[in-house]
Amino acid sequence: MITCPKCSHVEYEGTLFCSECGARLWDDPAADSTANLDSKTLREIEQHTVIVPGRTTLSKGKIAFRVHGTTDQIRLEGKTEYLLGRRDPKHNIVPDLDLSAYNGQKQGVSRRHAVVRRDERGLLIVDLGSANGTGVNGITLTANEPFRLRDGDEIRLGKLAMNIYFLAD
Amino acid sequence: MTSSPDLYTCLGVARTASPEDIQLAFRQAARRFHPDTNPDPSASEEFKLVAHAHDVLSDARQRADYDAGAAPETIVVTLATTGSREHLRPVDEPQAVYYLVNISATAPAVFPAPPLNVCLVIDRSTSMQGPRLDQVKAAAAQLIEGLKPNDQFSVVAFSDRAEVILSAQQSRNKSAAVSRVSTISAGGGTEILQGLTAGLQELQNSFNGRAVNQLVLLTDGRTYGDEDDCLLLATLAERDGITISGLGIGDEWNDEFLDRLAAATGGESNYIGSPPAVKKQLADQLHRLGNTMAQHLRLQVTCDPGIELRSAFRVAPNPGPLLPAMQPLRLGNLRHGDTVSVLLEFLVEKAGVGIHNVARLSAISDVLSVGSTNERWQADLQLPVADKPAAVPPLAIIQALDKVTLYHLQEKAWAAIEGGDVAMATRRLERVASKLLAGNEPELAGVVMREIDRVGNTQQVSAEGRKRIKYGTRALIAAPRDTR
Repeated sequence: MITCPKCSHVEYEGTLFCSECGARLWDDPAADSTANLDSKTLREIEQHTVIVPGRTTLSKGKIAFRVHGTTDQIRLEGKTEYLLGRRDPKHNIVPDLDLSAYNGQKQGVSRRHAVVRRDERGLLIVDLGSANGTGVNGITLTANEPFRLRDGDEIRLGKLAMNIYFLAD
Repeated sequence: MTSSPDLYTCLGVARTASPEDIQLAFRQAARRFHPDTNPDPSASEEFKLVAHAHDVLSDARQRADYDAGAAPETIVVTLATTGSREHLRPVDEPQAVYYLVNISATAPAVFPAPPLNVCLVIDRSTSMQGPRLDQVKAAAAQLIEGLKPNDQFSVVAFSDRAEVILSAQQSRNKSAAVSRVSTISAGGGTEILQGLTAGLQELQNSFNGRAVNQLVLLTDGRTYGDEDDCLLLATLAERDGITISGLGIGDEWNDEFLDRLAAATGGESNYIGSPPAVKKQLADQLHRLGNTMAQHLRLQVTCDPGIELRSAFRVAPNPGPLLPAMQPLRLGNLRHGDTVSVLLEFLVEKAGVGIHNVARLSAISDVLSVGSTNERWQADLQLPVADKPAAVPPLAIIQALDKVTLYHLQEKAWAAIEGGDVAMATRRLERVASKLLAGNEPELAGVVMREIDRVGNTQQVSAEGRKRIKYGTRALIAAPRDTR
């Protein structure tokens, strides 16, 4: 028997989709990751499908995050790649942006959720096959497929929403 | 008369098989299908066919006669099967395996369009008054204009009683036929049994073994108390070679009933959102009927011992669930150049060693151009047992199953509503909406979102929303896949 990773429904070995939630039950690194979200979140996605145009370019490589509902600005600099997720010392997972303090676990943030990476043109975000998916401006990302970020974009990890800003200084 | 099924396929040997090969194959097939060892209800029928094939092929003279006399078949039907896995695993627990079965027909030469024997059964209850009935009458008139000389067309109108508006005889005079149809006026209740009985009688009167015999039911209402009798009548019609299709107009009609009625004969059921769409839907249906090569197509799935057919779903054309308990599976008509796709889900109780037989498939159909009935084509499903990791399943299976799972999910949401479990219904609808959004179907997802709101506020769903979601998710199954 196999257990659905999304909803824990038990299915026979060889079953391809969970009959209770529709989640994929076979291993395929190239396939889409489907987020299971509640209707409130889905509605927010619908309301936020406006693309925020990029203003500041990523000249110095300094970025900042602001989690929705807070005023904290979390600054990151000095690396070409930042891990977004939740701290787990037992498994030696230390994300650069640790969302444990922002109720990350309850909001459906995976320990290794996504990566933000610099390239010659700017900034990319990659969902690492997280349990509840990553969205940018209301678009749900395909796992392991880089997606270009712009200044002011809204990022959603599970249900936790935040904005990313490119800093000029 | 062609000899059907192919005796070599039936035994599972090549045409060049030696007498020893034939003996061995017979003993293996007998073990699979002998009623003493296989409890499947259709096993004894398959066993008789295997025994007959053995009788003919094990006798040198009869075999030579068979090889010489194997008449060129009028049409060739192929059963192409794709499995979800390349092997079973040697484990002590049940394993699921899916097969996509594509049935298609090709004709060796120019294929003549078969004549039609169609009866249109129109609901004329009070609620049909106005644009609905006007559009239906206009659609019927258009069909009459398009009839070919050999076609037979009749019209029955019903409310709480039925009336033959136009017999097949009377439709020969087209202008008189159109004016007869224009006299239908609305009034009364909806008793579908009345309309069905009269419509089937008309089809029997003009029955033709070489024609496509079809009853098209158009209704906007619910029938009360006579559902079981209607279903029984449909089962009898199917045995006579008549297919029933259902078209529901508006939101009040009983979708489950119409689905079951059509499915009992292998016909299709559809939802007409607005009256003007009637014309196109009807014209499309009649056009498709004209391409029929074989009708009364059935798929008999004979499971090997220890195998269970858990579910069956017609993926194309006209997607819809099939009942594994109601074998053979009724698949309606097989059209020229078209493929009938069925998704089967099996449960293998316990994998043995070597090659594991899963099931024998028999497609059975009546070939129109020669008027022969119960022609049979076969294929075997089998899998090796191996202790290695599973490969990624074939894309065709994934795509079909993904959409079928979504359809089942929304059906389960309605079941939860009916069972009074609002929280469960909401959760299931949210998953449907989430999958629709991920699948780039924002419009249908929006319809689901509105129903989630409605459930939250009133613990109810709207009849319109439910039908749009049900037939919307069903239409996705047949829709061409977008390649991203």
